[in-house]
Amino acid sequence: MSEQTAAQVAVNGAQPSAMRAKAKTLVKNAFGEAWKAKEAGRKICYCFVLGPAELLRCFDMYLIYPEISSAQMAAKKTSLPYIQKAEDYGYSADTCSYVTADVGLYLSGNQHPLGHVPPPDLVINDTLCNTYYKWTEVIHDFWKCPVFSIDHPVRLKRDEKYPYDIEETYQQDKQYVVKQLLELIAECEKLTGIKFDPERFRKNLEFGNQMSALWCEIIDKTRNAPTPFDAVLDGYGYIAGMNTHKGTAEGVAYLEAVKTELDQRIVKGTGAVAEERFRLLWMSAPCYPYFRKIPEMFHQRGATFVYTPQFMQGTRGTYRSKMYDLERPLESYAESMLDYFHGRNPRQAPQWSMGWWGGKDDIRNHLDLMRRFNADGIVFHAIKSCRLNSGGFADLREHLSREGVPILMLESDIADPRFFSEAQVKNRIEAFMEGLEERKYYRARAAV
Amino acid sequence: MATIDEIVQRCQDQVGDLAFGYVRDWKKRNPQGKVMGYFPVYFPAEIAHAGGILPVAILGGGNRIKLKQADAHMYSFMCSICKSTVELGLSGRLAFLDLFVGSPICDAARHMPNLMQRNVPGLTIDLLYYPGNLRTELAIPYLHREFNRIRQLLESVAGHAIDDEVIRRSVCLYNESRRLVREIYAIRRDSPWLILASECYLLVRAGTFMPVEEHIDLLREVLAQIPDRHARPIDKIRVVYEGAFCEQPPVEFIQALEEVCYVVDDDFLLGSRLIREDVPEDGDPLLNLACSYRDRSHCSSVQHDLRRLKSDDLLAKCRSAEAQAVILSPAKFCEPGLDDQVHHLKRFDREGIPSLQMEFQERMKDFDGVRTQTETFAEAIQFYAN
Ligand code: SF4
Ligand code: SF4
Repeated sequence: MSEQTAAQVAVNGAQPSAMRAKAKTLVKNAFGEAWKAKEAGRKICYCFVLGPAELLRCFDMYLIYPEISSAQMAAKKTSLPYIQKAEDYGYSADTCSYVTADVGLYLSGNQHPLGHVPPPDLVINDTLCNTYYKWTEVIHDFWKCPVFSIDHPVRLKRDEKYPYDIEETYQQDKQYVVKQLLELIAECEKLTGIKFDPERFRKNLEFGNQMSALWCEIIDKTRNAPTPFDAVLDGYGYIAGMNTHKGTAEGVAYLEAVKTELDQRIVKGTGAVAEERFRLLWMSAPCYPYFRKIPEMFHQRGATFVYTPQFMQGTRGTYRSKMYDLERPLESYAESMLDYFHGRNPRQAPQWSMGWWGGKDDIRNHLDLMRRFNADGIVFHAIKSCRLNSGGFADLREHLSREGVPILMLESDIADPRFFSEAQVKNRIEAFMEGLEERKYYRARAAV
Repeated sequence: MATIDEIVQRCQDQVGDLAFGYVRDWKKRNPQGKVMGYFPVYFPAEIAHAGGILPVAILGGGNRIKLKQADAHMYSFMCSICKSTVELGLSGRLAFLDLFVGSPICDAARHMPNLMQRNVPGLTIDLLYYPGNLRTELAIPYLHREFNRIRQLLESVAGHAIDDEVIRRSVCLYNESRRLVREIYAIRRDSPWLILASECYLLVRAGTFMPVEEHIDLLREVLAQIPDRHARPIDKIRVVYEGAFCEQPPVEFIQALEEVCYVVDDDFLLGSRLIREDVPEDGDPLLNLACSYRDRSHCSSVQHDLRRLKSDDLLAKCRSAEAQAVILSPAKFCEPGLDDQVHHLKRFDREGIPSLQMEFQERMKDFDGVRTQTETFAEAIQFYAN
């Protein structure tokens, strides 16, 4: 950090991002208006955050995102009674707590802390996580609504050469996804009585492209020292605001406002913390029941988060420097789904892989991230009930520690507050921060 | 000729052999032969067999393996089969494999091949991706292509082409082995005292590592002897067991259940029996396998096909086996199984069929609790029945 910037930060101190607060309003409105939409005759579609929002909007469907719904319950510290209801009903504490919170919601007459949520007319899942498939089956059990899955195949990045043509496999997989999208279109037309308008879809993708461009700029801003926003505390707010408005003019306006705010903060030297001393990568989703508490424990020690793979993972389409090709919208849309998981080009979307996909490249990718964001260490947040995000962390820790990367493993849960032990988390953070302090000290001494 | 008891004992020894002695011997007997391992639930073994490759299901390490290295690499809340499979790899026990194929059937299984790839040098790994959306017709051409890709992968291991004609011959053999397994299951449903669930399990399990020809001989030998077995029915309740489609419980677990009740049907080793009818023997064999996966298969918790409810299938199973109750017992931390447990539970409640919920772990060693729980459950059913 330059002397001048350090001085500015010391003067300005930490100021919360106004756009984080704005995200709350956006999400709240998204829920609050659901019944109005239903009463106005719009169809309600439950779809996961990476779902085909830009396509569904062509049918005037009102979108409800089950993950955001569960995350909101948790962030408002209301998830536990819902989860317990699901457990009383028969669900295991080892099931993803997003699912059990959602089940609890259904068992509570759909009374969500943000408003009354209407039941679905359609539910759509994709292949980001296999739990989505099970979750969709659970939703089907409760609501008997039609279900549609968009299946995008997962391909391993092999260490050896592929004995088949991986490019051909990619093209075939793409056609498979395109055909599913065509089936989905037909199903939506039938359900809503609205004919698919390719122009409208193109327009939504254009908004999507604008959002992508803005988002790529926004996440790059954490490369500044001090970072103008905290990847966890602010970043997840932005993601929620963005995901509830994908493919819309409001989404573009929101991200423009975020970008403007961040530019101003950079000019003023306003950091996410009063004095940025350490920059960390946060791997995985947050512990929503203690959404503020955990990052703040780091902030107190001058540590802030500059990156989380959810910047990419939680925001399909937006990670790509390549935009939707408006000349071939459906194909390009299919690519945005497929490129997540395809071993064809592991460095195309490397930054979000949390260790289950990229073979040895996963290690290299983490080291690249450390360099790119000038980070001092990595915090792996192992989420008890999320095997998708957490399953590879222990192995990554083994490999990255050998490369000399300071690593902290924290354990809690995404929505279940019972798996958070404040004393234990605090102790671990303290010990980790001591280690970073020492490292900094010896490095500074060695540099003299 | 060996008796059924002897055959079953031999299978049990082979199943418990963490050094995969049977497969290593096979390799010695067939120096040019290749071996591939696959992770459950299902793999189209016919394609490997046609290539002269021995397909071996890698079903974890059971309750004899110690997790010495895997724990450091694995997330604690993962199911046991994933952990112990990685342990097998890390401890060099899978060094005999020329190829390992995993399938992203659940969030835990998505990680496992990648963990193996990073940590088990020399092991060639790939994925077979099953369509997540079986409701649509698109699943068939997709899976057909996928099986073709797997054929190419296996050809690279075999070092030669694997023609349709040879696959068709393998399909015929596997059809025969599936028919024989179905016969044993039918006997269990009719006269469960003649062949126990634990015995049946071991006999089927032998087919997950031996060449299908040998397995067919073994099954025929057993079937020929079953009618002459000296066994009398006992007054036990009849139950169907559901939850072991992927990770397998220890044999002692099954034995503990059947001390109390007749397990007249189950989903043990479901992958070996996933296709419930003959695969058509004429025409494009890979297309036939793809169609069979979608349209002639049992339900499993990791197949997603809302054309039919999984609980419809289980209910039909119970009815055809005249079961009085169902034991719903997924593996610990197995999210797909745990979620389906509730789906089944509610359905069986509605149908008025008693169900017992429990969990198992392949690593468990103490079965007293299982026995006690099952006894209490069975007593309640018998009490109300009387
Ligand atoms: S990614 Fe994790 S938290 Fe999200 S739905 Fe899947 S299992 Fe649950
Ligand atoms: S036992 Fe269950 S959780 Fe484990 S790999 Fe199999 S399906 Fe997945």
